[in-house]
Amino acid sequence: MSRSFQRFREVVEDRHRYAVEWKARGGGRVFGYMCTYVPEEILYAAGILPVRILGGHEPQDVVEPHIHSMYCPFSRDVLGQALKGRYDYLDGVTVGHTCIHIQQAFESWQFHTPASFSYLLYVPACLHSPHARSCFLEEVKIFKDALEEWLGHTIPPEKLERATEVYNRNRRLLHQLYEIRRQDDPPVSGSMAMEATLASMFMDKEEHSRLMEDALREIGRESNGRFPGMRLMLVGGENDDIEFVRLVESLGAAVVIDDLCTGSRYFWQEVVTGADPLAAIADRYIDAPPCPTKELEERRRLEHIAKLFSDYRAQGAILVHQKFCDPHQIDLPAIQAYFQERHIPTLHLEFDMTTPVGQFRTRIEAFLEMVQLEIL
Amino acid sequence: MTTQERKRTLRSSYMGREIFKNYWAEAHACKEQGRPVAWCSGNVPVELVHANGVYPLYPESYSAMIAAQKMAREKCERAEGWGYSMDTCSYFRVSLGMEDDDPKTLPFGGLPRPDILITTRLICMTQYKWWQVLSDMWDVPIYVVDAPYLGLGGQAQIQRHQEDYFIDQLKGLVAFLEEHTGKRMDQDRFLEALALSDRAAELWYEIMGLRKSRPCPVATREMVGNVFPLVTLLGTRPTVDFFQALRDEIKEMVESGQGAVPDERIRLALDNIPPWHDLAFLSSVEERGAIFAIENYTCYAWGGRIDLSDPWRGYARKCLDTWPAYSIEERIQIYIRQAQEYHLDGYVFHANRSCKPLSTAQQEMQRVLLERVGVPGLLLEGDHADPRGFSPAHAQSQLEAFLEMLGA
Repeated sequence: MSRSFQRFREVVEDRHRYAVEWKARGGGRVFGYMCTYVPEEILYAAGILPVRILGGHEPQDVVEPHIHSMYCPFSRDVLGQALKGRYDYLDGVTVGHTCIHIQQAFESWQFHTPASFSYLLYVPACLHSPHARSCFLEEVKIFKDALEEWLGHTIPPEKLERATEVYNRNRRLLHQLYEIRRQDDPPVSGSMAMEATLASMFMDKEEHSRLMEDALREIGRESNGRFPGMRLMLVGGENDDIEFVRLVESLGAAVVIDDLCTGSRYFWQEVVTGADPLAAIADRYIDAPPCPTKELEERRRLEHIAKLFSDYRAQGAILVHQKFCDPHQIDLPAIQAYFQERHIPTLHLEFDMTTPVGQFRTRIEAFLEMVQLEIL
Repeated sequence: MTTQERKRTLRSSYMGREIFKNYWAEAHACKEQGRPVAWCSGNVPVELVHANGVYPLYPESYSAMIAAQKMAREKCERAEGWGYSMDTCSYFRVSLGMEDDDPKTLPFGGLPRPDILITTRLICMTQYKWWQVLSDMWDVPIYVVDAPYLGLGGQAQIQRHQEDYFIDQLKGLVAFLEEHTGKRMDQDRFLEALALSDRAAELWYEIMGLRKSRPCPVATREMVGNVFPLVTLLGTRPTVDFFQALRDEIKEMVESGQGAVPDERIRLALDNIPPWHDLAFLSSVEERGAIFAIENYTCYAWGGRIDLSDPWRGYARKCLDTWPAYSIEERIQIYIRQAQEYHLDGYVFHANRSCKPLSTAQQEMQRVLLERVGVPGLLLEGDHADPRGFSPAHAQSQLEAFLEMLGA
């Protein structure tokens, strides 16, 4: 594995250390954010390092008195990490409103271990509503005002523009990495792509982009030379389980594309720059491929999934989501039906943060055999 | 005794029962007469639906009735067979699971198919995903009333642009309704619907206030039935008439010192939607001189006063101010006040697998209520419609132990 990918892995595995060292180096502030609807560009423009709060994947026994077991394991894991002090170094915590599970994790976090700056940003659910853009822009303005008040200085438009450039560049580089996976024999595996994408959520974007450029050069030189196996797509919600992707790929498959909020959904949409830098940033979050909580009428999500599936010439799909994730659970039959009508095999798996993914082995093996039969 | 046959404390509750029966029967009559029928999810701004002459039908209320008639399990299992997880809301599964049923086997001949679908983000997220499924299944036009999540309480107030956004959503709903009726909304009818809704809420709050009395004139089990018009028929005259009769009778009881339970000793509050499949569970405490005197389901979920001097803004504020919009701290503050005003000895928190918006932060509330005002709480796992999510024997023994601890 190349040095850049090694670094991505290190950061993902030791994300707290990265953030603490980053802070020590420049004396900047670090904010945690949940879900993918917080306009990070604004934080970055303020000199803040935004780090996404993802799974800790360690067994814990601290959340039971705070959040019911019928809430998704991911939201419980998030709260558990806060209660165990894993994120004590954060100066702020924010969430862009999506589902009730993460909302409670955020509110209980705020209730028990309040950060110096704590903010729940409302994001319209009806993104197609003619008024959603203006409403969200207003929410974003108020968020920026609150942040400026806390910082004690304003965030000038030039800094927003600069942050937008930095973020867009990083999005383009991740796109390029994904693009390579369209090849017949993708030199970059699904687990490598996932590590690179996750690392982007934890790292200073400029540093990450430099590593990405190196990584893209290195990939160009090396070919892994192995039979890629079945080409698969991952579809679903919060899934940062790299072990799972490694397992799938060790069984004779290649994950070539995904529609996950921890994967392509995170970076797919660029900010289309315009006269008002803040409005351009806000619009980006309205136009990004949606989470099921942001899709209420027409099925934009399904259309997007279908396009990715075909563009990346996938042959089967693994549908994953957290247990108890009702928005994904209710979308599931529609997605299954879509694939079924096209005779595309799917495997549905429910995740728990601490279940060893090895227990899925038999089901994945059986699924891959089926995919093979379908495509022969 | 079955749910239907049980004797009610109040004469006027039978009036509510009639409203309930007529409501379902009239839906079929509307359909036959060609009047548009809308399937609405809970907290849809129903006054607008009535004001536009569209008949609002509530599948969630229907699912609750199916559960009360002990018919929910098979419906849930059928929906699960179609791929909908057992973790999703049981109102949703029950409703979907009736799709292939012969309407004759269902109470009131089932629900007529909707001409339009209306839902909202106001209180939960299952509703709008559910309505999306319905819209797909039947190819019926849908309108979603989006609403800001507010986290109200303390410094957090509804902001002007949030109100504006919601008003735009309401006006969008009017346009949607007008499109399907082919008629412009009559402004006078709209204002009258708001006035009737406000009057109903005023009476309802008065009724809730009367329940602070010792002894308590009417218990939770009866009031979760009487709340029905506040859910479905806000903005209509019969609702006001019914609540007026209810208020008068309750007031009379309070003035003459009559209580629903003879020798009332322990006063409880219920948090969350009741387990509709086992309402007898709620009245079982009465044998021990205990009463469920109040419940958040009837106080903070439906209805609300409207500032009629500024109708659209007043209406928007009323709709936005609802329990799921409250922060954890606000919920705690409400319960601290409630515990004192209603002289409560304990809280029963129904940890309802099927309603996450109302189950949020129950443990936080349970702990803080004990710490700050010394009122203990019992957390019971259950489900509002799926009987498989609730173990009656286990719940009963937990409840009895709790009552013993409270000295019943």
